[in-house]
Amino acid sequence: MTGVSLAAAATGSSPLWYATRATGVIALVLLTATVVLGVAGVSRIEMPGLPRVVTAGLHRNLSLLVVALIGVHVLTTVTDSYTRIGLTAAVLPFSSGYRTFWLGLGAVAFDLLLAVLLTSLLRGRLPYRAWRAVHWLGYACWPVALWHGLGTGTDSRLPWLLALDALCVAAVTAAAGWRLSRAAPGPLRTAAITAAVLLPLVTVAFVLSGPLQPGWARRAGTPPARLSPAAGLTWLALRSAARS
Amino acid sequence: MTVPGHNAAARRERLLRRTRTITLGVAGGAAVASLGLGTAFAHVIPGHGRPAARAATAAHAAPRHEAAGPATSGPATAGHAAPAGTAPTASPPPARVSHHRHRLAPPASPPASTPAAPQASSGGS
Repeated sequence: MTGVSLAAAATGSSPLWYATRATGVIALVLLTATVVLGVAGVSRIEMPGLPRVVTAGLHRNLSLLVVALIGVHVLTTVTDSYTRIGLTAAVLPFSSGYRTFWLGLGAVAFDLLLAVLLTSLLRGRLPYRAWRAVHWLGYACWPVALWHGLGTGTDSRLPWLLALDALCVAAVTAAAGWRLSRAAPGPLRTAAITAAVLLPLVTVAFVLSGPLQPGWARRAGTPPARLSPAAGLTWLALRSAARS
Repeated sequence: MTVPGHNAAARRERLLRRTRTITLGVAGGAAVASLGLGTAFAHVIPGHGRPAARAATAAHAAPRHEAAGPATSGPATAGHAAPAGTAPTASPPPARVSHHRHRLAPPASPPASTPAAPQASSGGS
């Protein structure tokens, strides 16, 4: 925490807020790696220097690391004094008053991840089909987590963060495409291909029409008490300066 | 004489050790990356708890954005929700902003000799 604390001390901000942002971003990157490793494992892809045993072990360990990072992400969010977000809002979707929908997506992703993790820990005691059905929720967890970050994050417009999100989308799309190219034809495969094609398009459309537009904080559901009129005035000043 | 079972166990142990090593490397990298990202956020989006100070600094920085066009970083921070006064509003602006402040160019034309009547603005933008 030293670097964050020093930077926060220099700017007078809470290091918890920055820790929340940072752990959220890293958790998304690691979740992306977990999904890609899972797809590689189930597709029986053997990467150079990484036998399938190692790939499977990494898939398991990285998913545990993601949960640990999300734990830090939740703890720093709850303890940050910027806005009051209870611990229940982290697991109970759409129960927070701050950006209800977008924060709720984070809770949904967290719940899905917990379900996948718990069923994997109890895999030996569960029927294979039940475990597999729950494990497929991992594919749903990833885009929900991505949209949570894009919709909630006040830093979503930073170019390098957008580039990082684009890399994550490209990695998962490529892995899913590889997996689907080897799957047996059928309605499930068609639906999965449609989802794999639509997901990046919908995400790009959402980013262009949502977080990249001015006034997103208000539209995202930030309580009026948290909306600073000074910020709006500054936006108007910047826009008029750019036009003149 | 080597036993095949022993070889398999040794190979398995080697692969598990490799898995642990990579996992530790990734975990360490994630921790370092979290610290680095947190520090980067603190510099890119400063004054999270100081809306008044940030507004003041952003207003000072407006000519800089004018020169650079509609930059992404300016509206990106200004258009978002600023926290409501967790710090005194009279707090000084962050020191780092002064490092990036550009000197203003002199006016292209001298000021008018006769004071003109103030123009009425429609308020639209």
